[in-house]
Amino acid sequence: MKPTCEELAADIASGRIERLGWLDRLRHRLHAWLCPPCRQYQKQVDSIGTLARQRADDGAPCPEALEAMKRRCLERVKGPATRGPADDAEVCPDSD
Amino acid sequence: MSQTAESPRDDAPASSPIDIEKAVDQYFQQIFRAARGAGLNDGEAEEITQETFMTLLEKADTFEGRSAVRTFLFGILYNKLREHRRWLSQARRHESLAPDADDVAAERLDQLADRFDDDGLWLHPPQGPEAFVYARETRHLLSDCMDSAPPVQRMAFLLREVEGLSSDEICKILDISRTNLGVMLHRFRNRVRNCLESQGIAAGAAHGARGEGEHP
Repeated sequence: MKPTCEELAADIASGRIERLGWLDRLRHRLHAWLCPPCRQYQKQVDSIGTLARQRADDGAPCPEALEAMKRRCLERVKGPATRGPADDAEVCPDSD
Repeated sequence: MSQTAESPRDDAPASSPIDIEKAVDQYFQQIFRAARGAGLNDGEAEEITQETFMTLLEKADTFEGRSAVRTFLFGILYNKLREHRRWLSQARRHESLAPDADDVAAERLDQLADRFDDDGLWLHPPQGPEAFVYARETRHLLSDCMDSAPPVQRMAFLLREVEGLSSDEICKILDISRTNLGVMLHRFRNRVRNCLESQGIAAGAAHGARGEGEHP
Protein backbone atom coordinates (compact mmCIF):
# COMPACT_ATOMS: atom_id res chain seq x y z
CA MET A 1 0.00 0.00 0.00
CA LYS A 2 1.22 3.48 -0.83
CA PRO A 3 2.62 5.20 1.06
CA THR A 4 4.61 2.44 2.69
CA CYS A 5 5.20 2.51 6.43
CA GLU A 6 8.73 3.73 5.81
CA GLU A 7 7.54 6.59 3.61
CA LEU A 8 4.85 7.57 6.06
CA ALA A 9 7.28 7.56 8.99
CA ALA A 10 9.74 9.69 7.03
CA ASP A 11 7.01 12.20 6.16
CA ILE A 12 5.91 12.40 9.77
CA ALA A 13 9.39 12.92 11.19
CA SER A 14 10.49 15.46 8.61
CA GLY A 15 7.27 17.47 8.81
CA ARG A 16 6.76 16.94 5.10
CA ILE A 17 3.31 15.61 5.85
CA GLU A 18 2.10 19.17 6.48
CA ARG A 19 2.95 20.23 2.96
CA LEU A 20 1.25 17.39 1.14
CA GLY A 21 -1.82 17.84 -1.00
CA TRP A 22 -5.20 16.71 0.24
CA LEU A 23 -5.11 13.39 -1.62
CA ASP A 24 -1.75 12.41 -0.21
CA ARG A 25 -2.86 13.50 3.22
CA LEU A 26 -5.90 11.34 2.87
CA ARG A 27 -3.73 8.40 1.85
CA HIS A 28 -1.52 8.99 4.86
CA ARG A 29 -4.48 9.23 7.17
CA LEU A 30 -6.00 6.07 5.79
CA HIS A 31 -2.71 4.25 6.12
CA ALA A 32 -2.30 5.38 9.73
CA TRP A 33 -5.86 4.38 10.50
CA LEU A 34 -5.24 0.87 9.22
CA CYS A 35 -1.73 0.48 10.58
CA PRO A 36 -1.27 0.47 14.38
CA PRO A 37 2.56 0.76 14.31
CA CYS A 38 2.40 3.85 12.09
CA ARG A 39 -0.32 5.35 14.24
CA GLN A 40 1.82 4.67 17.28
CA TYR A 41 4.86 6.19 15.63
CA GLN A 42 2.92 9.32 14.75
CA LYS A 43 1.60 9.69 18.28
CA GLN A 44 5.03 9.17 19.78
CA VAL A 45 6.52 11.82 17.51
CA ASP A 46 3.68 14.21 18.32
CA SER A 47 4.14 13.58 22.02
CA ILE A 48 7.81 14.57 21.77
CA GLY A 49 6.65 18.00 20.63
CA THR A 50 4.19 18.24 23.50
CA LEU A 51 6.85 17.17 25.98
CA ALA A 52 9.27 19.75 24.58
CA ARG A 53 6.68 22.49 25.05
CA GLN A 54 6.06 21.37 28.62
CA ARG A 55 9.76 21.16 29.26
CA ALA A 56 10.26 24.72 28.04
CA ASP A 57 8.23 25.90 31.00
CA ASP A 58 9.93 23.64 33.54
CA GLY A 59 11.81 25.81 36.00
CA ALA A 60 11.06 28.93 33.99
CA PRO A 61 11.13 32.19 35.93
CA CYS A 62 7.78 33.30 37.30
CA PRO A 63 5.92 36.16 35.58
CA GLU A 64 7.23 38.71 38.10
CA ALA A 65 10.83 37.67 37.47
CA LEU A 66 10.26 37.79 33.75
CA GLU A 67 8.84 41.29 34.01
CA ALA A 68 11.88 42.35 35.97
CA MET A 69 14.12 40.83 33.30
CA LYS A 70 12.19 42.68 30.64
CA ARG A 71 12.70 45.94 32.52
CA ARG A 72 16.41 45.28 32.87
CA CYS A 73 16.57 44.57 29.18
CA LEU A 74 14.82 47.83 28.30
CA GLU A 75 17.06 49.64 30.75
CA ARG A 76 20.11 48.29 29.01
CA VAL A 77 18.80 48.96 25.54
CA LYS A 78 17.30 52.39 26.12
CA GLY A 79 19.11 53.61 29.19
CA PRO A 80 18.16 53.90 32.87
CA ALA A 81 15.25 56.25 32.23
CA THR A 82 12.94 53.29 31.80
CA ARG A 83 13.65 52.01 35.30
CA GLY A 84 10.40 51.62 37.13
CA PRO A 85 9.67 51.87 40.84
CA ALA A 86 8.79 48.19 41.13
CA ASP A 87 12.11 47.02 39.80
CA ASP A 88 12.97 45.06 42.88
CA ALA A 89 9.78 43.06 42.85
CA GLU A 90 11.25 40.15 40.98
CA VAL A 91 10.97 37.64 43.78
CA CYS A 92 8.16 35.29 42.91
CA PRO A 93 5.37 35.36 45.48
CA ASP A 94 5.31 31.62 45.99
CA SER A 95 8.96 30.85 45.35
CA ASP A 96 10.89 28.85 47.95
CA MET B 1 1.64 27.24 20.69
CA SER B 2 2.99 29.85 22.95
CA GLN B 3 3.66 32.50 20.37
CA THR B 4 0.10 32.75 19.22
CA ALA B 5 -0.58 35.66 21.53
CA GLU B 6 1.56 37.79 19.26
CA SER B 7 0.03 39.66 16.44
CA PRO B 8 0.72 38.02 13.12
CA ARG B 9 1.26 41.46 11.65
CA ASP B 10 4.55 42.11 13.35
CA ASP B 11 6.34 43.24 10.24
CA ALA B 12 7.88 46.63 10.67
CA PRO B 13 7.13 48.86 7.71
CA ALA B 14 10.15 49.05 5.45
CA SER B 15 10.85 52.70 6.07
CA SER B 16 10.15 53.05 9.78
CA PRO B 17 12.59 52.17 12.52
CA ILE B 18 11.83 49.28 14.82
CA ASP B 19 9.96 50.19 17.97
CA ILE B 20 12.41 48.65 20.40
CA GLU B 21 10.17 49.03 23.41
CA LYS B 22 7.37 47.21 21.65
CA ALA B 23 9.79 44.56 20.43
CA VAL B 24 11.07 43.90 23.94
CA ASP B 25 7.55 43.79 25.27
CA GLN B 26 6.37 41.38 22.57
CA TYR B 27 9.33 39.10 22.11
CA PHE B 28 11.44 39.12 25.24
CA GLN B 29 9.80 36.00 26.63
CA GLN B 30 10.11 34.05 23.38
CA ILE B 31 13.75 34.94 22.87
CA PHE B 32 14.55 34.17 26.49
CA ARG B 33 12.77 30.82 26.29
CA ALA B 34 14.59 29.91 23.09
CA ALA B 35 17.90 30.76 24.73
CA ARG B 36 17.04 28.50 27.66
CA GLY B 37 15.94 25.83 25.25
CA ALA B 38 19.35 25.99 23.64
CA GLY B 39 20.80 24.87 26.96
CA LEU B 40 21.68 28.18 28.62
CA ASN B 41 20.93 28.79 32.28
CA ASP B 42 18.67 31.67 33.31
CA GLY B 43 21.51 34.14 33.81
CA GLU B 44 23.14 33.31 30.49
CA ALA B 45 19.78 33.33 28.74
CA GLU B 46 18.96 36.77 30.14
CA GLU B 47 22.34 38.10 29.09
CA ILE B 48 22.13 36.79 25.55
CA THR B 49 18.54 38.01 25.25
CA GLN B 50 19.63 41.51 26.25
CA GLU B 51 22.45 41.34 23.73
CA THR B 52 20.00 40.23 21.08
CA PHE B 53 17.86 43.32 21.63
CA MET B 54 20.95 45.52 21.75
CA THR B 55 21.92 44.19 18.35
CA LEU B 56 18.39 44.69 17.10
CA LEU B 57 18.65 48.33 18.12
CA GLU B 58 22.04 48.69 16.45
CA LYS B 59 20.79 47.11 13.26
CA ALA B 60 17.40 48.81 13.25
CA ASP B 61 18.54 51.10 10.45
CA THR B 62 19.51 48.19 8.27
CA PHE B 63 16.26 46.33 8.87
CA GLU B 64 14.44 46.49 5.59
CA GLY B 65 11.21 44.89 6.62
CA ARG B 66 11.72 41.93 4.31
CA SER B 67 11.19 39.61 7.23
CA ALA B 68 9.20 39.87 10.42
CA VAL B 69 10.82 41.48 13.44
CA ARG B 70 10.46 38.15 15.19
CA THR B 71 12.39 36.32 12.47
CA PHE B 72 15.03 39.02 12.53
CA LEU B 73 15.35 38.68 16.31
CA PHE B 74 15.63 34.89 16.22
CA GLY B 75 18.27 35.24 13.53
CA ILE B 76 20.30 37.53 15.78
CA LEU B 77 19.84 35.16 18.69
CA TYR B 78 20.94 32.18 16.61
CA ASN B 79 24.12 33.97 15.55
CA LYS B 80 24.87 34.86 19.14
CA LEU B 81 24.19 31.34 20.33
CA ARG B 82 26.61 29.95 17.79
CA GLU B 83 29.35 31.99 19.41
CA HIS B 84 28.38 31.01 22.93
CA ARG B 85 30.73 28.66 24.76
CA ARG B 86 27.98 26.17 25.64
CA TRP B 87 26.89 25.91 22.04
CA LEU B 88 30.47 25.63 20.89
CA SER B 89 31.23 22.87 23.35
CA GLN B 90 28.14 20.91 22.28
CA ALA B 91 29.00 21.38 18.63
CA ARG B 92 32.58 20.32 19.26
CA ARG B 93 31.41 17.24 21.11
CA HIS B 94 29.39 16.20 18.09
CA GLU B 95 32.16 16.93 15.65
CA SER B 96 34.55 14.87 17.69
CA LEU B 97 32.10 12.01 18.15
CA ALA B 98 30.61 11.76 14.72
CA PRO B 99 33.43 11.22 12.27
CA ASP B 100 35.59 8.60 13.89
CA ALA B 101 33.83 7.16 16.94
CA ASP B 102 31.03 5.56 15.10
CA ASP B 103 29.30 7.41 12.39
CA VAL B 104 27.23 4.37 11.66
CA ALA B 105 25.94 4.17 15.21
CA ALA B 106 25.16 7.89 15.24
CA GLU B 107 23.41 7.54 11.94
CA ARG B 108 21.40 4.63 13.28
CA LEU B 109 20.20 6.79 16.14
CA ASP B 110 18.94 9.36 13.69
CA GLN B 111 17.50 7.07 11.12
CA LEU B 112 14.73 4.59 10.87
CA ALA B 113 16.05 2.61 7.96
CA ASP B 114 16.88 -0.58 9.81
CA ARG B 115 13.38 -0.76 11.24
CA PHE B 116 11.83 -1.54 7.87
CA ASP B 117 12.00 -4.45 5.49
CA ASP B 118 12.62 -4.16 1.76
CA ASP B 119 8.96 -3.47 1.12
CA GLY B 120 8.97 -0.53 3.52
CA LEU B 121 6.97 -2.35 6.18
CA TRP B 122 7.81 -2.25 9.86
CA LEU B 123 10.38 -4.87 10.77
CA HIS B 124 10.82 -3.47 14.28
CA PRO B 125 7.69 -1.49 15.12
CA PRO B 126 7.76 1.27 17.72
CA GLN B 127 7.80 -0.07 21.24
CA GLY B 128 5.82 0.92 24.26
CA PRO B 129 2.97 3.31 24.76
CA GLU B 130 1.02 4.89 21.99
CA ALA B 131 2.40 8.23 23.11
CA PHE B 132 5.15 9.04 25.57
CA VAL B 133 3.85 9.70 29.04
CA TYR B 134 3.55 13.37 29.92
CA ALA B 135 5.42 13.29 33.19
CA ARG B 136 8.25 15.28 34.74
CA GLU B 137 10.58 12.26 34.61
CA THR B 138 9.94 11.86 30.91
CA ARG B 139 10.77 15.52 30.41
CA HIS B 140 14.06 15.07 32.26
CA LEU B 141 14.89 12.15 30.01
CA LEU B 142 13.81 14.20 27.04
CA SER B 143 16.34 16.86 28.06
CA ASP B 144 19.10 14.27 28.16
CA CYS B 145 18.06 12.88 24.79
CA MET B 146 17.89 16.37 23.29
CA ASP B 147 21.35 17.12 24.61
CA SER B 148 22.66 14.18 22.64
CA ALA B 149 21.67 15.82 19.35
CA PRO B 150 23.65 18.43 17.43
CA PRO B 151 22.67 21.91 18.67
CA VAL B 152 21.49 23.15 15.31
CA GLN B 153 19.07 20.24 15.01
CA ARG B 154 17.77 20.97 18.48
CA MET B 155 17.33 24.63 17.59
CA ALA B 156 15.38 23.76 14.45
CA PHE B 157 13.12 21.48 16.44
CA LEU B 158 12.54 24.02 19.24
CA LEU B 159 11.79 26.83 16.83
CA ARG B 160 9.27 24.56 15.20
CA GLU B 161 7.64 22.84 18.13
CA VAL B 162 8.00 25.26 21.02
CA GLU B 163 8.02 28.64 19.29
CA GLY B 164 5.71 27.54 16.50
CA LEU B 165 7.66 29.23 13.72
CA SER B 166 6.89 28.35 10.12
CA SER B 167 9.30 26.38 7.97
CA ASP B 168 10.07 29.50 5.94
CA GLU B 169 10.94 31.46 9.07
CA ILE B 170 13.16 28.69 10.42
CA CYS B 171 14.95 28.31 7.10
CA LYS B 172 15.63 32.05 7.09
CA ILE B 173 16.87 32.05 10.68
CA LEU B 174 19.13 29.02 10.32
CA ASP B 175 20.02 29.88 6.73
CA ILE B 176 19.17 26.44 5.41
CA SER B 177 16.97 25.03 2.67
CA ARG B 178 13.58 23.46 3.25
CA THR B 179 15.02 20.07 2.37
CA ASN B 180 17.76 20.55 4.88
CA LEU B 181 15.25 21.52 7.54
CA GLY B 182 13.24 18.37 6.81
CA VAL B 183 16.36 16.25 7.19
CA MET B 184 17.26 17.96 10.47
CA LEU B 185 13.80 17.51 11.93
CA HIS B 186 13.68 13.92 10.75
CA ARG B 187 17.00 13.12 12.37
CA PHE B 188 16.26 14.97 15.56
CA ARG B 189 12.84 13.45 16.11
CA ASN B 190 14.06 9.95 15.40
CA ARG B 191 17.09 10.40 17.58
CA VAL B 192 14.97 11.58 20.50
CA ARG B 193 12.27 8.99 19.91
CA ASN B 194 14.81 6.18 19.71
CA CYS B 195 16.57 7.56 22.76
CA LEU B 196 13.37 7.67 24.83
CA GLU B 197 12.49 4.19 23.65
CA SER B 198 15.91 2.89 24.61
CA GLN B 199 15.73 4.59 28.02
CA GLY B 200 12.81 2.40 28.87
CA ILE B 201 10.20 5.13 28.77
CA ALA B 202 8.25 2.91 26.52
CA ALA B 203 8.82 -0.27 28.47
CA GLY B 204 8.20 1.41 31.80
CA ALA B 205 4.91 2.93 30.79
CA ALA B 206 2.02 1.12 32.28
CA HIS B 207 -0.62 1.68 29.71
CA GLY B 208 -1.18 1.30 26.05
CA ALA B 209 1.80 -0.90 25.25
CA ARG B 210 1.57 -2.13 21.73
CA GLY B 211 3.67 -2.49 18.65
CA GLU B 212 2.40 -5.79 17.48
CA GLY B 213 0.03 -4.27 14.97
CA GLU B 214 -0.55 -5.54 11.52
CA HIS B 215 0.40 -3.69 8.43
CA PRO B 216 -2.29 -2.42 6.13
